[in-house]
Amino acid sequence: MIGRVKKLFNTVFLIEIGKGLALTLRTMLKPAVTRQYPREKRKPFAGSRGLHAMRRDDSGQKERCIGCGLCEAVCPADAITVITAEGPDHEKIVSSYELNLLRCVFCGFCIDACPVSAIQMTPEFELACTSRKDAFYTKERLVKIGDKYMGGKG
Amino acid sequence: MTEQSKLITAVIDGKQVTVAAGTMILKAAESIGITIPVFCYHPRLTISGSCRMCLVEIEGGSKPVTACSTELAAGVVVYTNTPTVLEARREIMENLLINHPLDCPVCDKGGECLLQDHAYDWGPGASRFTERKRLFRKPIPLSDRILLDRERCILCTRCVRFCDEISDHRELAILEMGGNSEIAVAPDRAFDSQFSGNTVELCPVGALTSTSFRFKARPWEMARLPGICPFCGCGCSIDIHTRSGNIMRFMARENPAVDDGWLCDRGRYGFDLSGGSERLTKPLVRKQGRLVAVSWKEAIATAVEKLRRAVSQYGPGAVGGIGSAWSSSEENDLLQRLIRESLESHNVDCSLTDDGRPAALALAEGLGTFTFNDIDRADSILMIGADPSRYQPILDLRLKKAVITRRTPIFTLASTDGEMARYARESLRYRAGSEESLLRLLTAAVKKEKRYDSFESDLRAGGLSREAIDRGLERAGLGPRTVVLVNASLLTDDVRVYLVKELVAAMGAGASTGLLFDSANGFGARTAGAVPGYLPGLRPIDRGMSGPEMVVAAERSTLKALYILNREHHDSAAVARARRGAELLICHALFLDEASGSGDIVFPAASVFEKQGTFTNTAGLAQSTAPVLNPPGEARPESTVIEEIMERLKQ
Ligand code: SF4
Ligand code: SF4
Ligand code: SF4
Ligand code: FES
Repeated sequence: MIGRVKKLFNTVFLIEIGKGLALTLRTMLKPAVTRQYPREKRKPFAGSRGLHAMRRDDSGQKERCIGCGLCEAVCPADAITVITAEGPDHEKIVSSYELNLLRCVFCGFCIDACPVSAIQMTPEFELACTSRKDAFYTKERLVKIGDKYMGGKG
Repeated sequence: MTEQSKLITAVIDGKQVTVAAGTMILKAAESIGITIPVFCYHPRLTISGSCRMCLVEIEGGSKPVTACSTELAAGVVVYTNTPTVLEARREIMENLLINHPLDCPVCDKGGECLLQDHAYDWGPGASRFTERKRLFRKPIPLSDRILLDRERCILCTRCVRFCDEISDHRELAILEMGGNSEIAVAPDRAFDSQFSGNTVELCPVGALTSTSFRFKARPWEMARLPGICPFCGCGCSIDIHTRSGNIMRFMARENPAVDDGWLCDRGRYGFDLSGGSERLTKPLVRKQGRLVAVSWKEAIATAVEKLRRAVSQYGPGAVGGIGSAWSSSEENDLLQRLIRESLESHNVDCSLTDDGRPAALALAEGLGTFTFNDIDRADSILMIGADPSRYQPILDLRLKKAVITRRTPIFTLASTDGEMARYARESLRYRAGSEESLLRLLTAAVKKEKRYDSFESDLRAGGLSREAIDRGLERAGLGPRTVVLVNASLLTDDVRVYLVKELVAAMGAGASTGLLFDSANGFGARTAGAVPGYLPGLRPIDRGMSGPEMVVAAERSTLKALYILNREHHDSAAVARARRGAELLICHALFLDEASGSGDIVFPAASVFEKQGTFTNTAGLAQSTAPVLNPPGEARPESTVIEEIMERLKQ
């Protein structure tokens, strides 16, 4: 009985609508939180997982990757292909390193697996591209990204 | 009851085990499913007991003992996992890892390495060693094929033992002493053994690597498919490791009936069939003098039409087919059906240069019955013109095993130098061409007959005498289980076949004979009927021309059409001769070379790794292979093409 009276009272005096309008008014007076991307960019958090990069080795001459294939083995998305060969001095060389960003799920396992910390993640998150080919990151491209984010040092 | 077959009972880890007296603890434990970690122990090598990884405790014993080299005694109680044992393992691991480099990420063995596995399972987890590790230049070549990284070597001596005991080439040795020990090629020797690749597979760590596989792939990346080595008449079992449609390496797959788990280097490293050339990927048909790529439909239609025209114009006798002793039995069977059934010709053989019939006759006459295991049981071995070290390498290891472990007497008669002569009690040389006299004289000698005089002069010219043969037979001591190994290519005519038969018959019922074929399917091509005068199953049929006869006939233009399977395994000069007079030359080929390029119709073939097939090894063991790769482009297995041609010829 009491419930029905209360409901009638609320309906007649438009109480719910009033509450809603009050909230809207309060929010209008608060500063806006929407960022105007792409004009305005968010600062990445520490440890955020963006585009991969390859560091250079201590000599700075070539990539740091030693071609162990552990990143390839651990990658749950099968995004990495490492192909190695024997160099002129019987050393192991990485003849091709390819990361297919179309497959990558940015889990960061590859970074954890790398025994020499060659492959790293940068805060770079703007990865849109207009062709599939652009989504394949070769060793050379990855080293360039490394140079950009890690200053080209070992 | 001999001492060996006496059974004893003991307890390992609380489980009762009953084994033959003399069994090592390790093996006894294995038989009840208890694994003890090892490094130096290998089931097919002698026991060295040097790594100490296999330590176990015996109740009442004063200290742990090595399981690999301690016989299980009756009634003892053995523990393989007490704190003492685990502590011992930890210490061994720590010691081994003192000098072992942290190479796993760039080591080819990583992923299938005993040291890695044992370190993970039994190691201490951390090292207390802070001093400098032993450093060596890495790697150093031991040969063109094998490299040694001394830093990684744990001195288990498996490689040395292989060279000493199995290949008996004795090229590897340990130099220096104690902490300075290192594996090296023995002074004044070269590591050029044709079995060197086995040491790489035996090495429990990544110290030995092969140039053919170095850094190509990591073990876990490769698919492993069982296969049969297609490079000689032995037909060893292999595991084919592939990655993204490429063969990366061959590994041995133990088959006690053939290879004992070893491979020769020709097989192990021979998988690159291409030699760098481009494979044929499209059918080619000659139009106005030039070969042009056409569709399969057109190529097959052309073949059908031209074969039909050849038969109707010149009669079936003007058509011939050449199978191949390197092709599967199925393909040879289809080829002989195409020629015999569809084209109604009798001209079938499996080689352009040799008559395939006599060896088929020999098989039909019941020769060629031996198995590789007969060698292990043989009382003595008589080898005639055979050189397994060169042509059937794994048989060479079998023979050495018989000589080394059982002192089986071998009597070799050969016209050329062979390694086996070194192992023979008696080895005699004959002049090539005097085989017939030799066989007659041998038979006479076995029968202790005196009717040899007429052949003696022939043999004497080659420096051989009846006395020498008598002495050889005496020293080899023929017994009821003598194995006679005859080089199949000596059987050039029927007379020789019957002479061999007579010789074997003279030796008694237990003797077995092996015809040694150097081709992968010399045996099977014959039993599949790709020889003159025999249908599959060696059922006789009218005899047409043999391969060499077909070449001559084609050159003289009496044979008009020739169909060749597996061009790569036929003599180019013979193809060129046949080409001169033949109107129609059809071949299946992997590559476009001078010979296949001279054909009128060239079908792009699938390599042996790209199709299914059965190969019968030289001991008559039929083994099937499955495809591990896809043929490139439009290349097709020969069998499907021949089937289609036959189908179309019927219409
Ligand atoms: S981040 Fe994850 S999904 Fe992407 S490449 Fe690395 S392991 Fe693969
Ligand atoms: S884990 Fe590191 S070193 Fe190994 S292949 Fe990947 S990037 Fe190279
Ligand atoms: S090279 Fe390999 S097989 Fe030879 S002793 Fe060293 S670890 Fe053992
Ligand atoms: S395995 Fe027993 S001592 Fe090496």
